[in-house]
Amino acid sequence: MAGKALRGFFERLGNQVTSGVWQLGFAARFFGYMLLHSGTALRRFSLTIREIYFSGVLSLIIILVSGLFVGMVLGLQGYHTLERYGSSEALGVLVALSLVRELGPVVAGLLFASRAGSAITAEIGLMKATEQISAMEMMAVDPIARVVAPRFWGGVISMPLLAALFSAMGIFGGYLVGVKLIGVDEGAFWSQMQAAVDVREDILNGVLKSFVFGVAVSLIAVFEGYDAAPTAEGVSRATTRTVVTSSLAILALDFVLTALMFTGGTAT
Amino acid sequence: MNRSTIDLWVGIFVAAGLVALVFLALKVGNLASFSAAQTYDVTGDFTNIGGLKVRAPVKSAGVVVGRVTKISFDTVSRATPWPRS
Repeated sequence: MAGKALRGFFERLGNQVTSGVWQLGFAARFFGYMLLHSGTALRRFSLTIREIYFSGVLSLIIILVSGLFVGMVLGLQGYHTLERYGSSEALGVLVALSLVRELGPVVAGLLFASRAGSAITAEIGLMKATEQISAMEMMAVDPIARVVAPRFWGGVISMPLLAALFSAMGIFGGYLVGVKLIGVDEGAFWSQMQAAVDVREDILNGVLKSFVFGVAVSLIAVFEGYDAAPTAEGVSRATTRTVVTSSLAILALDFVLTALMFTGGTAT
Repeated sequence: MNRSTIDLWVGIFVAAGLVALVFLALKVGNLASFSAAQTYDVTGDFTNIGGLKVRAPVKSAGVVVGRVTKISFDTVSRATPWPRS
């Protein structure tokens, strides 16, 4: 009896591991196939432009408003902490470094995943559920080249631009609260910021981060949509999975990238 | 939606994103101060560099004239800090 229960336990464990590995392999092959068949998306660039509109332009409002408020909160909180140590002029450094290095890419990525990633998954999943994907295959149109790849590239192109806009807006928000509202010296705010922020070390690494997040979120979104069970329930589950998985992926990748980028040798 | 309207908005979006990047590079990162003016290498020899870091500013009369490019340990003249037993 105990042997049977033990056997059942190991069978379930083995089943979970093999299906997990199978899923990962499917995702990797899907990614490779999509990259190989991206020619259409890049040659007929209007397809990709359409997707940049849906995932980038329509995310602008939420990104700009959140960036402004995050910067304003950073300005307020940072000022009260820095003032205690008599270095409130360093507010510009605090706002700029935390936005450019971490908050810009990460928060913009999380917003992008919930605003655009979920929409991409729902759209592709619904196309699959209503058999539009199969219909395309019947007409000898490759759905990965025609539907999936433009959405992927649209997301990859949009994400770094959105993160840069988020950071710029946040720094503007920090400037509004710090300089205009509280009255930190304007010259010190900008000059200390300019002295501390390095173009290659901080800004370029931040852009690189947001690019990596863009690839991760877009890949997860299109894959979950393509992999969704073709039912109403399957699409809703896939949409949830997209948001959860891409948020976790962003936070985990952020840790790895930060460890690689900002701890090596020359970082101040 | 109309094709040209989409193109217009995407154009505005990409331009705004690039402007934000340029703003970050110039106004926040102060890329403009890294001018391509003629410089020359100066090597210094110190017993202790304290907290000196690579890319720290080098100032002359208070004006930034360059950056520290490399810091290395002098193996010839300071190879043995204390006698070996």
